Amino acid sequence: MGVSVPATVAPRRLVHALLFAGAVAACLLALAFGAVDLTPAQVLAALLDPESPDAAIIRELRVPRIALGFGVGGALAVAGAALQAVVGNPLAEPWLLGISGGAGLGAVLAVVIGLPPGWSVAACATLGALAAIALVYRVSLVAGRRVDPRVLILAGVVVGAFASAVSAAILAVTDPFTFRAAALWLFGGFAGASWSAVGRFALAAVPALLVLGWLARGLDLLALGDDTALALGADASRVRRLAIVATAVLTAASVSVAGVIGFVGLVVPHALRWTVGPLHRGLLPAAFLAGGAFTVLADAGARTVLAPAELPVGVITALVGVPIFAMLLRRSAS
Amino acid sequence: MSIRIDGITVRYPRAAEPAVRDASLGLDAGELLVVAGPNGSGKSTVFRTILGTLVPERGRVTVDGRMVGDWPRADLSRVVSAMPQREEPAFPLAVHEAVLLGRWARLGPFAPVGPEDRAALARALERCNLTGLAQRGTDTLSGGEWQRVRVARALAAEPRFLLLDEPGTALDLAHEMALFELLRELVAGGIGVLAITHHLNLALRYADRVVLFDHGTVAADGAPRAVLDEALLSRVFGWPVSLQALPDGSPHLVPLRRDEFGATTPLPPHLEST
Repeated sequence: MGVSVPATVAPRRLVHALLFAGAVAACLLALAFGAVDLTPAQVLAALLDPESPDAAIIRELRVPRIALGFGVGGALAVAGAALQAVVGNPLAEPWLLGISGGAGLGAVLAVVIGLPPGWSVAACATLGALAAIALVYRVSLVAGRRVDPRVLILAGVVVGAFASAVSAAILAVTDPFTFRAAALWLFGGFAGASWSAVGRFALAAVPALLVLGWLARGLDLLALGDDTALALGADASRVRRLAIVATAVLTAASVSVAGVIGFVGLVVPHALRWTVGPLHRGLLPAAFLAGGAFTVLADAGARTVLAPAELPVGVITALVGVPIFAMLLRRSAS
Repeated sequence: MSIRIDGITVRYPRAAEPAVRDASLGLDAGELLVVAGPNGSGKSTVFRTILGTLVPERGRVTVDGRMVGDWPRADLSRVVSAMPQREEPAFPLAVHEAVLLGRWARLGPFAPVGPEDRAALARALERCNLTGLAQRGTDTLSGGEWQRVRVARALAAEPRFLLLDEPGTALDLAHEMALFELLRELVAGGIGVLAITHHLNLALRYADRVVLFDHGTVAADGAPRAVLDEALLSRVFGWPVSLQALPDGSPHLVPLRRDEFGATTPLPPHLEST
């Protein structure tokens, strides 16, 4: 034979190690930022000693907030990467496909009709997310038997806009107290972070992430188109169905604890394909780490730029994400 | 082991007429079967029923005696590997990564890429003359190079049967000949190959058997020289074809120019408007 095929595993591991180190650094950095300025020494003391003066701020506010931000950002980035393979287009993303909007509407409805916060809101957000992606899929099928990715994005934006409009209409006629509770889901943020929110999020997101990890090679094949995926041994429609449900669950879990946050799922996977390549066993873990770090930093920015007031974190991710989206659109058109 | 197609009728959703009607054919290990016929005569439809992409409304397709639909997808692809006609990859890969995708069904969701997989990859790259391109991105390849990557990917699966839908498309003369030489080599190694092609002279020179489709039915099935007959081809393709002898006596098909079959002869009805 005499042909040497280079192993691609080593550089991929290296990228994962670097991303992991970067993620840890981002979390430590974010611990020090906030309405109350703390030195690294004070942060460290609070982490090590529950009796230290800043222990409450760090342990009950900032650490759960960072954990939640990391999980949500990672989940959205993984969901974006998976959707891009499902749709066969690098422009797919939970927010652009209307899934986030559907989840947001579900959450708002749950709050307005007076369901108890927590599980029931999360369940309604999940139903909203699934309904939205089903509707987007149906709408984009109208043009023909095969789904045109560009039509799919268009349908996603339309359904997302419709869901936002309905949410806004509902909020307009509710009392101010409910408005404040429900508006959280329309302008994403981690102000409501708590350990119980982290627990609720993890319980839904971890299984969905594991399912997508299990589907990683199927997603590699699905990105080649249905005929080729079948020819190479992937049950294309089953992989697609499972992946869509898993991404809807991830999006809904994210929306139900942190509201609608756009563009993380678009920007992060795209940037990573340049470094780890498009194969999902490398891409999905990398997307989780980078999406988590990106969102934790965006949230640190949201907390500090106008402190003590807070910007919605979705504002920061949109400010970064929209120019990149525009760039992607230009490239995909050429 | 063989692939059997028994009397299938296949209809696309919402189509008035079936695309394939009561067609039967078989593919055995160690034979090169060429499927030929005019555009839209049902060749690719049959290809897709073997893959299970399309389900026939009548008749059955079996692989090793088992209905295609009853095979677990990953198991089937170890036995039957295929290269569909068209494909637009969403994300560019390195050539060696793209070819390694042919191993995914064997590896399942978690098994790491092992020495066997790397050996199969190296062999597939070498056989398709791609070794020098292994590091290139699939988005930088010419049409012919990309076609060879897809053939190599199907080979990397190390199947018992290889199905190729127009593998010669976009290949230059040398690469197309090299491909058919490779197919003969695979067949000599016991693999059954089904290739759809419009290149009837290659079928004459390389195939063990030719199945000719016409309007969704099998018009002929047999040895290349028996099937690729002047009168039959002229009728099926609707264009006069002449069978000529090469210096060594082997037959060669030549579609005739209009002035060769008489300018006064009207064009076949389906070509009149052109």
